[in-house]
Amino acid sequence: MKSQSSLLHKRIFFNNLTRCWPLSVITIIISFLVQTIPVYISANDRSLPESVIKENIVTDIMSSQIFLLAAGFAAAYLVFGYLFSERLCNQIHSFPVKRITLFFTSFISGLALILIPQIINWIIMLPAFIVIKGSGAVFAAEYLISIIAFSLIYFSSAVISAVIAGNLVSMAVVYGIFNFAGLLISAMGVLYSSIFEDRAGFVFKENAISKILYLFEAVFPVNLMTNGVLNYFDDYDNDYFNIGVRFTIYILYLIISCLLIHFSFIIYKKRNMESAGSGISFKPVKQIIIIFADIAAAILVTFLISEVLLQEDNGFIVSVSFVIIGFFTAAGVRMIIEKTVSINVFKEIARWAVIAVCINLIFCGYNAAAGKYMPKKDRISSIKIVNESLYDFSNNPLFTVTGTDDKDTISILYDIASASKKSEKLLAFNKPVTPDYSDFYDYNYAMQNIPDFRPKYSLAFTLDNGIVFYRYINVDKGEQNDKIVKIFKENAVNSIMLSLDIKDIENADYIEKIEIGSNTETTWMKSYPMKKEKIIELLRAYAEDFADFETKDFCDHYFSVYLKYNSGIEYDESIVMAPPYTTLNFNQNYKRTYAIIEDILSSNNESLSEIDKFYEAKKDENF
Amino acid sequence: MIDVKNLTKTFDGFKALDDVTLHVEKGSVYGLMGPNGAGKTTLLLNIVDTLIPDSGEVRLNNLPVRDNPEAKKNMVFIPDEVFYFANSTPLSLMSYYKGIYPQFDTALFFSLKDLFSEINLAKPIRKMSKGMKKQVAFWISICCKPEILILDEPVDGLDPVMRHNIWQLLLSRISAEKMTVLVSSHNLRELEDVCDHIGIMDHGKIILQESLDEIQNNIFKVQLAFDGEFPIPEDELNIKSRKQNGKITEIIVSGNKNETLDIINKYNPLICDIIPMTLEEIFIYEIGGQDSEITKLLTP
Repeated sequence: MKSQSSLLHKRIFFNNLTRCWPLSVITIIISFLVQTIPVYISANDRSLPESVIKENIVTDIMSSQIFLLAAGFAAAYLVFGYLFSERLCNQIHSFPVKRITLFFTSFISGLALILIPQIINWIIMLPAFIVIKGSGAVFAAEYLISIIAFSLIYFSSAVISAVIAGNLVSMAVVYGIFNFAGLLISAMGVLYSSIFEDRAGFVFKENAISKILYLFEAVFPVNLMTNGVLNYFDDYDNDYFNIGVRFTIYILYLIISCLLIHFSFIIYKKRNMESAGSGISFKPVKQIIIIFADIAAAILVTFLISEVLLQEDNGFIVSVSFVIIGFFTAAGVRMIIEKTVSINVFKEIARWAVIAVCINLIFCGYNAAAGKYMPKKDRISSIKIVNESLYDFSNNPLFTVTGTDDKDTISILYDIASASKKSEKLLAFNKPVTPDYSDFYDYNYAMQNIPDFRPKYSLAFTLDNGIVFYRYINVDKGEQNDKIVKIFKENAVNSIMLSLDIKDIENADYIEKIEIGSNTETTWMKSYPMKKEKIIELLRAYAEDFADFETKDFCDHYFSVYLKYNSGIEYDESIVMAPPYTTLNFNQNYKRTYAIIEDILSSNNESLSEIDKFYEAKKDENF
Repeated sequence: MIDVKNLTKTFDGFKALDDVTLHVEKGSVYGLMGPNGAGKTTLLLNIVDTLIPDSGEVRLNNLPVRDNPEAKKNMVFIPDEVFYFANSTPLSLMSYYKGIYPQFDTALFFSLKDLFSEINLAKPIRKMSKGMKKQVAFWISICCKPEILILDEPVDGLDPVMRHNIWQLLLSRISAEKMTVLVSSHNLRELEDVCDHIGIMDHGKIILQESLDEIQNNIFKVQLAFDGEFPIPEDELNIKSRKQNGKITEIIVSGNKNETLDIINKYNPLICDIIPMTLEEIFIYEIGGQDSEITKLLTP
């Protein structure tokens, strides 16, 4: 193959492979440990149901490839590292080889260094896929595609970092920006906005900025792989195990990789080869990286200053410290890029301060504007209430009233939200009226020991145009709470059934069996096949229990469910579109439910009371 | 063979090459000289297509060099610091070049082994001395059988024996292969020995390019002694320097040698010796002493 006419230069290709073979050896070992072995273990665990095995393999596929973050970087450095040495750079570009051939050959050889070992492991993996009933071929194909997609996305982002950068350190910085900047910006934005959520009483999500933040996450490979793109789908857990979604992600990776490769070559052609060894070799990007560092530092400072100002307990010194840290972050990046410590300090301070102020104004301005906004009442088509004070161990809200369109309910909640906005004047840096006790997962403790504690809810308003926006409300224990509890109870049946994805109790005939287990005594879990009539009876009882709950307020009620006793009934469903199973929590206060369950258990000489006693004994032992 | 037209290259606002035009005839050995920072290496890197010029064009064998393998296939560049991968041995580097240059002569490579007897073909190049690395570079480059050889400070940093050996090897191949050579060096004495054309660069410009003979014929040193004071008026000869040492006056003159002698003889000198100047003397005197005045000095 002659260099003059082909994209692939055989000699350079094989030279790269023979020169860099240790990377392939390391890759094949790591790939075997993190890819092949887990798949073999997952596929052969016959103690698990087929569906769980498949889920485990999906998890193996999606999570095991994080090592490519390092492998991709190493491969790109090995094959494009000549760009960082003036001597190598000059010599190689004097060869009678076209730039595109050099680039493409280096690219292919680098990709081969990490891809070939994985493909070898994939072949080793094939017998493991065969034992998976029905889906073996699909999983085998998917794993191969995922290997290619993941390798490409990491390697191509490392390649563009290499052609932008002029040395190894700055390549690492640029690669870090490519992979983690989105996460950093997003995390800072979310953290920053959470200050306003928690203290000012107005929520900051499902709005334009959060979508931009998600976009930041999504376009960066690491975030893309972990959760960025998956956040775009309605239900992370469900879509994660949806093959269509996964293939969409792989295709997205491939498209992004192609774009990165294309841009890499454009930069490679325009790159200043004389700047080998310097920080950034592609001048237009140099300014972008410097400005990005400034913005990152500014956001960091914005967040921290806001935190300090709102907490009031760390004071001026901490605030000033973080300003200085922010400045040094920006200045440090410039020093790395310029490869000099001689920077114009005053110019840096001025530039950084301007950016910091701008970022602060944008965030503060947006929060002020978005936090004050309330739509007209007649534009609200439905409303959802989420108790934001209590979460389970998986960080899910413990109780939600889903999407009621009852006009009276909407009106009451709208008035509560509006009153909260007007009376509490919560925006900006005002001290919040309600202390923040969001860290108190033990609601009982908070209720008993904090005199001015009030539960916090968020209201999700769905407008007539489909847009959903949230408002936090801090509810007092009096009239407001009574209204909300009333709404909860009125919508109890509907809410519970919706939480189970059951629109009508009478039609819950796809539930085949229930599994009863104790969440506190996790070794106890049993399965009971049930007839449709019994299931309907149970669900009806549960709904009625909930509606009749005799509690002072909703908080007390929920506390009792959450803490005193934890048993669950899990419904194994055969409908593919629904979640595989879902859980109802109940306790002794659910008198009807409790009686039905006791009745089911008694046929096997079992009893919830015995489990209660066991739990109480354990509790006494622990406390 | 090598044509550079109006080449300009700027680094961060600094004009490293300023409208450089250069022509190297086929089969000639062209020496590029100039002080540090004059732009010699930048010019060579533009010629070998490593750097992208701001404007202007380089052609090799009448083909534009920019990203053109056809133009570069018969050109080999040896930089001042030799290129090799971290784990390269002479043998693996030979194999690499063989893949890059289709005309690589493997038989020649092994036939030259005796000339480079000190070099262990299996030893990593990074473990070799600087002299050995240079020898490897020359050895491999010669075997690429280039029509054009471009050398940047080829013997810089080598001991005299090694310099001599490498030049001898090069000259023998230049003669045998009819190569065109463009070489930049600070060592003007060596350039004087091997080059037939000289280009002098300063501040990014070629301020002079002529054959070596023309340069040496147009500037010379004259030692004179007169009975009494130095009688020749300044404006009668193109005298660029005059030094008095007792009765002996030493002048450096540019212009036609015979015409200059005719003028001097009119004043009946007691002694009149024309001493040809070495290239190094010309360079050091002008570049070191009067900077870019060399143009005026060497141009009749």
